[in-house]
Order: sequence, then structure tokens, then C-alpha cells
Amino acid sequence: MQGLPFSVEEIRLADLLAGSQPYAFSLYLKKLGLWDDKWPESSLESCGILSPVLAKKSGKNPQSVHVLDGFKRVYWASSRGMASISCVFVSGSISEYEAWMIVFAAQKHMLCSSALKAAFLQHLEKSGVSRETIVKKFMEALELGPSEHLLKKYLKIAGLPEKVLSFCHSKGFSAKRCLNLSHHKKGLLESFFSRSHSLSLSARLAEELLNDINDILRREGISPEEFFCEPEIAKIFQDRTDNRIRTERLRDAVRKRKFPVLTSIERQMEKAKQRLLDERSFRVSWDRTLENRAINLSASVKSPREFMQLVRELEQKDTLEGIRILLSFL
Amino acid sequence: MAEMFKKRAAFGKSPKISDYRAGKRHLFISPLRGDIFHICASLDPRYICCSTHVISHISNCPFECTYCFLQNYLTDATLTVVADSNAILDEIREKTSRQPWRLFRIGTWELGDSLAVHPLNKAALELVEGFAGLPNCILKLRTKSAEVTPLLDAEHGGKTVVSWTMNPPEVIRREEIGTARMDARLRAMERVASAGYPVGIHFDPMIMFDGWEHAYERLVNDIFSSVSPEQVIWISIGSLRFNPEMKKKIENNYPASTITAQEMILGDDNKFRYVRPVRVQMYRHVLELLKEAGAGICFTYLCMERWNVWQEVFGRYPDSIGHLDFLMAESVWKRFPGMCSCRPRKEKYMALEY
Repeated sequence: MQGLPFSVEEIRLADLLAGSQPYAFSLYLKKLGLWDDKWPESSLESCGILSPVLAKKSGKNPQSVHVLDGFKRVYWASSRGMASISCVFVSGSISEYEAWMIVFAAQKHMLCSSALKAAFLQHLEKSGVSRETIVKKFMEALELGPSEHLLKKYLKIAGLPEKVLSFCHSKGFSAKRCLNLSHHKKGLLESFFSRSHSLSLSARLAEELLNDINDILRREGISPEEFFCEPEIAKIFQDRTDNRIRTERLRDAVRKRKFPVLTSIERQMEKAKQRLLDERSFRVSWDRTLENRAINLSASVKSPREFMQLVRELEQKDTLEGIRILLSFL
Repeated sequence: MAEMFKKRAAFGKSPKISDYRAGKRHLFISPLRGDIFHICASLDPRYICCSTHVISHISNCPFECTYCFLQNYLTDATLTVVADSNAILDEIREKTSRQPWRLFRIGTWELGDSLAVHPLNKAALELVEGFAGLPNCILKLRTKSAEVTPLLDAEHGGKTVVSWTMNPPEVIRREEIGTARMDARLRAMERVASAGYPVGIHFDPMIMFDGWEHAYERLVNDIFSSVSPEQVIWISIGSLRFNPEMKKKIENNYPASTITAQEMILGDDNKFRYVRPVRVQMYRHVLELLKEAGAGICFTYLCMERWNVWQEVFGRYPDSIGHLDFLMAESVWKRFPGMCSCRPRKEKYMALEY
């Protein structure tokens, strides 16, 4: 792209807001709740509009002025009852690609997560930018590499419900994590993420819960809302408690339901362990999937006295009985 | 071959179809390229495996089993068959003659069904008749079809086992799309047994569903109403398993199937399986049914399970993969002596390295 000639004009806000705004990616960010209006608001309140909006004329009609950068200023001016705003116009002859590159340059600082990169690529595609241009120019500019295959993956991510995309962005999920979420049905994602504000979720935990709930729904033939409205699950969300505790409770409830056999055996093993093997100078563990038939005993010994104590405890009848019971489950 | 497919046949290279389903509708007859005979790719030293050998001359399959691993495995999904039977037999002859003391069980089902491409079953005949002349080899055909007519008049010399993957009709209907119905498979089994072929039965993958106990009971009874245990050379039992990537594929390709939504854990081999207590319950149930049906005489083994599961199911377990290989050979020697060229020696098998 070469240097562009500019001209400045005063444009009626009513015309700007009445026409379509094809380059309005920042309006999409607003929809996702990612429109940070704090700093420009305070700056605009104290200093007013110091720089004109960047726009492009796409025809002679006054409503065919398309803003490339400066939507926050437009909305602020409109909310303050101003009638017009200064616009710097790029040449009407610039290509679509060049216009989108200007939008990209203005929004680039926002496109810091895989979710938003995906949303931007989808915005380009929906706006009619050719796939070839997206792959060769914009994916390169987003440091994703010019791959059609990768573009397909990003477009799949962009198809996630807005709440999910917003969550993925806020948690900084990698493209792979986002893609894993896109495997789930929209209904489940919406039901789950509409409750995510009450949970304390990492990417891994969100994935685990969604996978397990998805299996439960398919196995039992129930809908996501039916699941979340079941008394046991609804209570978890109604209880006044810390998000972390609520998340742990949900995780336990889901695990119990997904793994009825495994959790029941685990409970019996834990009981036997508590009764016969707890509070000793050694720790007892086993493979929680119950695949490997082995009990692991571990201990740290700091003195010969502690070692003798350990030996005595290992020799006790209760220890043998505990080990025997645990092994009978494996 | 061209005549078989009349005007729809074309000469050329493989169309290299990447779509798993589209590939099933294109048949490519290929010349032999590279080695085709090797040990089963599922062999994992952490599990007790039967160490069968395979000829990978069929790739993809016209059937659509929801649990089929091929949907996540094939890069070129074109249904391909290597039709150069003489070259295949030469390779097998050359490799198996290096261990004349060993009984090689050689399957043709690694990447596809042995008999599903009906017009090519005549080609399978060439292998059947070829194996009749290989002293220490058994050919294992494994199928979910019922098209066995071309096999019936073959000079098989008792060296080919025709085997079926068996599941109750409920599973066939829901999960083994396009395969032969249970009654058709049983009729086919009866026919090959009457033609003197030893029969193999594979309850693998067993699939859990409401009422599975009764369904498998009916299945075992139906099987042994069609063939006698004396005609059955071996029976394998295994349960559904798939890797995490496959789980997604199955759910995308067959959204109505719920087989992946059951209580399963991820094993050390990165495959989901039913939890061990459930698997053991399933295996014990089938084993009990087999005993009741008089099939306790058939060599019965577990597929891709660990020693502890063997112990729980059978009350014993093979010491190693080589040991299981020996036990199978020994069973064949005792029950079907014509299939072995020499008495299996345990120490030779135990010394095999995997």
C-alpha cells in the first residue's frame, strides 16, 4: 500500500448512523462486550474530539460514508447530541483490501486472542473479502501463516456463540482449546456459558466439564437446560458460596453422574483407606482409573527413628487388612 | 477384473479420496507396492496381545460401522484392494519360512473387511488356495458380510479360518450399518463350516446397552445352534475402544450413536474403554455363556487387555505375548492337527521378542 491522499470534511452524524457500516468490526467487539469505553470516554469528556474520524466515501449519497476507524468518537458525539463530526477521508479509489487493512491496523491491538482473530477473519469473509486475500494477506498480518486449512479452523471457532467467544477471549484460550469447544452443540455451550460467571473455570476445566456433561446428555437423552434445571445441579448454582467451591461441587456432581461405577468404587476404597490406613507415616495411592492393579505406598523418612516407626506401622495388622481390601477392588 | 466392473472401470492411478465416506464408493485395484505382510499394528507390549500377523492388502471397507477406527486413520480413503495374490503369497512364503517352527496366523482384515467387497471374493479365493500350500501358516478371513459362496468349493486344505465379528442384532442395526444381518451371518457360518472350514468367532467389540446381558445370551445360543463348538477354532472377546480423536470423529460422523457417551476411561494406550469392573462383568458373562453352550473347548482369549483383567476373567493369564502365541498354536495342534506342520515348542515362542 502506498501513501494515501486525505481530505477533511464535517459529516452529519445522523447520516453516519443511518447508513450501513460494513467496516464496523469494532461494533462487533461492542456486541461481545469488548468495547473498552472507559478511557476514550474520560478523555473525550475532558478534551473533546481531538482527531477526526477516518472514513471512506463509497458513493455520492451522504449515507454512503463508511467509517474505518473512530466509532467510539461517533457514538460519544451522538450521545452528547452533536450534529456533526469531522472526518478524514481516504481516497475513494482505494481497494477493499486497502480499506480492510486500515481497519485491521486500527483494531490490531484488540486482536490479541485466538477468539478475536477468528472473529476478525470471519468478519472479513462475511464482508466479501476473497478467501485468497484473507489467507495470503490477513492471516499473514495476524501472524497465523497463509493456510486455507487453518482459516477453516478459525472460521469454525468464529462460529462459537458470542458468550463463548467472549469467554475464550477473556481467558486467552489457544486456538486448539477454542476449536475443542466448537465441537460441542450450540445449546450446551449457551447453557453452560450463561452460567460461567458463577464458576471459576480454567480452559482445561471448562473442557472437562463440557465433555462430561455432553456425554451425560447423549447417554440420558436430555437437553442442556433439563440438565442444568435438575434439582441437584440447580442447587449448586443457587447456593451462596464462593465460585471455586461451586465449581468443585459441580465437578463432583458431574463426575458422579458420568462415572457411576468408578465413583462408587472410589468411595468404598476411600472409606477403607480412612478406616485402616490414614494418619500413618506413609501415604497410600492407586490408579484412579482402576486399570492398574497396584497400591503405591510412599513415605519420607528424616531419621532412623522415623524409619523404625514406619516399619512398625507397615507391620501392623490394620495395614495388611487395608492393603488387602484396597487390592480387592483393583 | 475390468470385465467385472464393465463400463464403470477405468485404468489409472488411485483417485486419492480423502473423504472417508466418499472413498467407500470408489474401488481401486492396486498392484503390490512394498511390503504388505507384518505383525498386527495394534500390538502393544503393555497389553497381552494375540500377536497375529496381517496382510494389509485391503484398505477401507464398504460397511459403515460407527466405531470403525478407519474413519480416523486413512489418509487416502479410496477403497483399495491389492489384487496381486501371487506376489502376496511369495512375500508370506519368504518371510514365514525363516521361522518354520512357528505357526503364523495371518489375517486380511487389518484395514478392511475380508469379504465385504463381494465381486472380489473370488480374489480372496486365490489366497485361500495359496495358503493350502503354506506349511506353517493359517489364513484368517474376518468379516461382517454373508457372501461366502465363492469359498465353498475352494481347495482350502483346512488352512483357512473364516471368522465373524459377532454382535447382537440391536448393535448390528445401530452401529454396524450396511453389514449382513445376524441371521445371514449365521447361515453363512453354517455353510463354511459344512464346507470344512474352521470357524472363528470374535465378540469384539462388545458394546454395552440396556439389556446387553440377554442380547449376548441369545447371540451365543444362536451361534451354537448354527455351528458346533468342535468346528470353532478360537473365540476372542474384547470391548469397544477408541482414541480421543476417534471419539470426536464418531460423534461428528454418527451423531445418533451414543457408544462414546458411556462410562469409559482413558487407558495407558491412549484408548477409551469401559471401566474395568464393567469390562470384566461383560467378559465373564460371555465366558459363562460359552461354557453353558459347550464351547469351553474352544480356545478363548481377550483382545487388548492386561494380565489383571485376564486373571479376573479366566483365573489365570499368559506370561507374555509369546506365551499366548504358543497357547494358541498348541490349541490348534491339539484340536486341528492338520493345520500345524510341527508340534509347537513353548521355549521357542517364549523367546520371541515384541
